[in-house]
Amino acid sequence: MKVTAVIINLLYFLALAPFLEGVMRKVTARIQSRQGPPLYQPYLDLLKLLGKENLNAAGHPVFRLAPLLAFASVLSAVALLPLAGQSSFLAHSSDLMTLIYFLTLSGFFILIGALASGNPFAGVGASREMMTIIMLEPVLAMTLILGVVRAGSLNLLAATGGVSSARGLSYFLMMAVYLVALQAFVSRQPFDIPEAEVEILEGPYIEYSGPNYALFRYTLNLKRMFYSWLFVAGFLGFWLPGSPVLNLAIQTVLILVLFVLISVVGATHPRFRMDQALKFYAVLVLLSLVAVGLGVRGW
Amino acid sequence: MTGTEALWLSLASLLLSFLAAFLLGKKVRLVRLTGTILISLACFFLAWQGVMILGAGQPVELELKLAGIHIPVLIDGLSALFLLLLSVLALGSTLFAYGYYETTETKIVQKVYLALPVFIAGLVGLLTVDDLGPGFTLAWQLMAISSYLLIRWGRPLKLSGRPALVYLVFMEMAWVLITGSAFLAKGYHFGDSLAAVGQKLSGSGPVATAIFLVMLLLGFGLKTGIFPLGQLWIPGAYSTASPPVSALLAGILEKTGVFGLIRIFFFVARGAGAGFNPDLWGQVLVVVGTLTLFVGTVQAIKQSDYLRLLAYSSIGQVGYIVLALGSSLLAWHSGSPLAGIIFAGAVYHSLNHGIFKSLLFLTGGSLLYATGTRDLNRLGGLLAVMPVTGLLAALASYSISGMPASSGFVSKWLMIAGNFLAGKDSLLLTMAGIVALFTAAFTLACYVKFFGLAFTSAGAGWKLKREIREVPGSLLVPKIFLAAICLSQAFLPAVYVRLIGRSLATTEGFLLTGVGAEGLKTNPIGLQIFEGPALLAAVAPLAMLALLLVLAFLARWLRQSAGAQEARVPAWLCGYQDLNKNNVYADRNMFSDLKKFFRWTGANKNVVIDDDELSESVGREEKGVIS
Repeated sequence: MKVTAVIINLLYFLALAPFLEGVMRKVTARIQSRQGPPLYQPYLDLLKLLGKENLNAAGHPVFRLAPLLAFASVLSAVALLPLAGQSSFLAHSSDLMTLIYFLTLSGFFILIGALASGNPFAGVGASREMMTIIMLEPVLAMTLILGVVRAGSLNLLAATGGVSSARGLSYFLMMAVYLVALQAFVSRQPFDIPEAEVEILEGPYIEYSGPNYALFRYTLNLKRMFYSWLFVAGFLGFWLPGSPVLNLAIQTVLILVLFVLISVVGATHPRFRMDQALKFYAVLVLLSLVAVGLGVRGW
Repeated sequence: MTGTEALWLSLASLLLSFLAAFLLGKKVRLVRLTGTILISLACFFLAWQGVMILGAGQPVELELKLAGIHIPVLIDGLSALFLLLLSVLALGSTLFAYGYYETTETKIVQKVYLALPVFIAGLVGLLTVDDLGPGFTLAWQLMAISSYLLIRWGRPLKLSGRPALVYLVFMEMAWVLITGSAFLAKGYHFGDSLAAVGQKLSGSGPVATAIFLVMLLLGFGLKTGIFPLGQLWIPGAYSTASPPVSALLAGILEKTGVFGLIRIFFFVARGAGAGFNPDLWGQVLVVVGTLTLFVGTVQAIKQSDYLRLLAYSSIGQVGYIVLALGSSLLAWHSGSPLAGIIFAGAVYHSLNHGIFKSLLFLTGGSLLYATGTRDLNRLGGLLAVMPVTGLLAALASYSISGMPASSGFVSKWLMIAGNFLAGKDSLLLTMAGIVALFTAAFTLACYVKFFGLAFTSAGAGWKLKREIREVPGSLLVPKIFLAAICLSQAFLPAVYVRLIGRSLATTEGFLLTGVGAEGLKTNPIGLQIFEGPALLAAVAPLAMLALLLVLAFLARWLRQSAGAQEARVPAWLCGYQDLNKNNVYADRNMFSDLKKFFRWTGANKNVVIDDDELSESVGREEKGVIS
């Protein structure tokens, strides 16, 4: 019974993540006065990629392992989540530090895969991706730490619940920061700097094709869904009705709404340069520091 | 009462090793062989001594009389634990040195084998003498002068003279500060034991106590490398000494500084009574530790010389330990049971960092041995030719970055989780914890750069003239030895936490006695922190690894589900060019915007000079980078 809960976590994310990309593409297309692909197009893309040839530019085992482990790390993070307000089976052997590090780990494998390919475009992409991780991960961490400060526990259910347990100044400030950072978490314009397809040709993923690329695409989709889920569970968790099924339904709808929002912003903003983005992220980091500080003071 | 025979046998072996190197003179092969055997023997005895003390659960105390001077010696649980670490690292370095010095010129090798046993003996002394007077001076000078010489002989004199001298000057300054501090205790007699110093301090008033602690913080801080003192000598010294020596410098010499800080703030200060303000000193250590870990790690990111990168990152890692010591003091002061947990984390991280940083320096040594360059810009793609070294480097890099299911993760978890839980009402502790988490990503970036650009990527085949081969077995075995210990630290946290608990139980006069670590529960796969019945935090490296592997197999199944084949193709550069030495992604481009953004943290000069090209510098400073 307990293990099935973990499997439900995985299935929920695996099933829904590509659909959210479909939503994103549809909304973007409508804003640009295009018809856009059908909502289920990303599933077809994944299937198509799985059937193609794996091109290997490096010959390293690292190049082959990276997509597997990137995918596995982000799914490991998903397995720990207290989905629909239910503590995960794995909560006895994990906490939010485990979660944060699993997320970083998936980024780490993307980087190592990129560097292993030897392609200089991938190198540029990896360098940018790492800088983004450095500057953005703290915002995620601090959101959860705001919960820790309130709940006095690193347990994931307690900490995500803690974020919205008191809705004072710190809560609203952190919510605003997270909402802005979300656009960068999901690497959409104006923050799609590491991939920047028209500039560095999808950066880290340039040498990846076929099933390997499918895994990276899936990883990216899962990550996007994860960050949106965290917003919903953390900041909007306080008015969930309590029944797991109803909770999950509400969370899903909220995630969809969030994705529409992300797409609208993404479709209407041009990309930042890396140095501009760093300054932007630094402001976000400072603001979230202020938010945690206010949280510690009980505001 | 446990004996100290093993300790004397160990010192005797070191002395024999010194004499052998002296007598055998120019027969350099024999010097290396006898040196290696005798020092290894000494390490064995040392480990035996440590195990005996911990096994018996009884500290040993005695007084040496040397020409009318009394030297108090104390080997308690804490010394025993650090002696164990010293024995493991000295064994690893000595075995590595045997193969490493095979190609070095005769004159240097003989001198190195004269200094190495003295250096190790000095370290043993620092961990066992129990005063701030004659015994301490003897041990410190043995350590400082021998390591000064080792650093001086690490590279051609033109390059090594200055950093070695700087090192010696700062070590002597630290010695003056430390031995001088004790005179502030009222009625101090040169040669009093630490406990006596503590007691005499209680009668000398708060001002004297404060100055005493400041001097010791500066003295041991110089040795540990706290900001900004570490930056003065560590990068130069660690990157100048030959890598097996650097492995000892970063692995254990630095840790004797931590040992000193622990002795002062958790033992001597207790005796000082009302003069010691744990709240204030906890805050000082937290602030100093946080600054050290942040600045050190950010500076590490800027280095293209991988030995300098490792050196700066050592500063950063020590910052974590100092931060944890401070937050442990603060937690103790507020009566929180988490004090013991955070302290255990600090000791655990000292052990972990000793092992993986030594492994990294030995990896650096292997790179230097195989390629002859210390410049990351000229490396790349070495995994294909040096697979074993590459794999071990990956393990060490993974561990130091504190990624899930690694030794670094467990110790950082103990320190940071404890810090957050203890500091949920304290602005300082929460902010320090956040900076520590933030910096973990910088550490990751450093080692992605180190491993990614040396072992994966491409370039060394074009940029280096010599043919690169995997290093011989004699350079692999010591690394495998350290890697095995590193893995045990990752997957047996319960064993190590119990070991640390036992070592503290075998130690008298410990400040935190009574708070212990009752909130910390160990189970076969990991650790959990409880408050009453509520589970506050948990870590389980084996479970994390299992989860990751199961899901990786799922991914592998998915990848193979449509029977996709693999084809080898050249890298695609828009169809205009092939990958060659002119368009490979070099280290100086890595993170260039971030380096610019954090320019104010210093250490921006990034010029790498290899031994064989004293005149020209290869690394150009931030010129024409691609971001």
